[in-house]
Amino acid sequence: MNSAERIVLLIGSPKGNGGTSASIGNFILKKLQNDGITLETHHVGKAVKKEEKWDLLVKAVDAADSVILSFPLYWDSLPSHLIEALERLHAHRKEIERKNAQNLYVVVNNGFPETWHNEVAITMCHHFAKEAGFKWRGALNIGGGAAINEKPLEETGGMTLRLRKTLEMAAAVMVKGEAIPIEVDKRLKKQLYPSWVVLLTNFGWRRQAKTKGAKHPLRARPYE
Amino acid sequence: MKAVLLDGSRKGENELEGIRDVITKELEELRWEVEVLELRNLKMTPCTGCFNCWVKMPGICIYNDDARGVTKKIVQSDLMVFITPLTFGGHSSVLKCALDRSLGIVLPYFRGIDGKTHHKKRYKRYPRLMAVGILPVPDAEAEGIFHELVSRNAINAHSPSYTSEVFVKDTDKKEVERIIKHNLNEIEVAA
Repeated sequence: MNSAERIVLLIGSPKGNGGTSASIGNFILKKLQNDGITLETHHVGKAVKKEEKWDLLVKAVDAADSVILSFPLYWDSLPSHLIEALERLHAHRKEIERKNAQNLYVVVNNGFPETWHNEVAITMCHHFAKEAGFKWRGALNIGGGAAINEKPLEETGGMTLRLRKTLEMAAAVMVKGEAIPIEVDKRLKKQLYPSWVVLLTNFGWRRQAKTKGAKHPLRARPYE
Repeated sequence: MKAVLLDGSRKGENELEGIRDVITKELEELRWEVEVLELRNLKMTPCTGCFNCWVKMPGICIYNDDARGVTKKIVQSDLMVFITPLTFGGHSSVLKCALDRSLGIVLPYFRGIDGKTHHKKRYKRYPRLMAVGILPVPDAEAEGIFHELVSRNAINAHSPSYTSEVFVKDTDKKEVERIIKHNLNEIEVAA
């Protein structure tokens, strides 16, 4: 059995601890808490802006047995600052001598009901793992981010109950450094809510615009 | 007809210049008005996912840097061309930054396309998309990722037609010209 003694969570959302990626990542981390395990969290968005933070992130990744990368989907792919971080990590890992390939787990979430949207981002991360010398341990492909809406996962009620149970199943293999089982993939494919539900959310956007004091209609075409 | 060419090379990279020149020349021969944006030389902060381009200043990013101008040029073009070094099969961080910051070109509202949820159009018309990736050595997996990524970008950016192409660095110039001509023809025909 492989065991993971040092696990590093990289939060790839620019929102830091206030986003859905952190909600999901922190929930998993809580399930990994165990006497023999050291857990550490780094925020990629902050690290790419400050050298000291970047150095700490790189040291943590170098020393880890497993890395969990939790991020939101932006335009079918990873947010740009996260791509930059992976470019830099890749360059760093070409220069250092590594004893073992560390485990890489990816947790990607999007605001659409379907998990389909995350597929390309996952294959990109898989490709990164191969190029940068990580052992690919699979992805948690999560759709329906609106059900979490940046709240701590434990506070999101019945709609995410199945998701929470599935993440617990995933944490149980992550703690051993094992690959995400197919059963977890299958459970995540089941949508948190049906696709038609989002078509009813227009009112919510208008309410947000009012709260923010938008001076133009939501359908404005400023560059026409 | 206006074409905006988004060059996603990172600082110190010049591998894309030859292919960029071929695309520019071919477009100009077809009487396109071409504007090249070397994104690495622009000031663009990464998208923070705040959605203020949807709910506070609809269609305009709240961060007032060069990304606003890039988005404007995309909206006002008939063709946008991505040129990028393939980064784990996808766009470089530089090109992706411009794309992320252009989220306001679509509305927050949703609609179904082929059984999947996507954002609705903000504008009446959108540019066609031609995407060109460069690899240092052949890599079929990265190439496959890129083609799939571009096909999905085209759906989400409401492009009326698109092509995606991957060249290995040092591909013969005549071959690049032939393929670019073919792609431009395809886009024109499909639009």
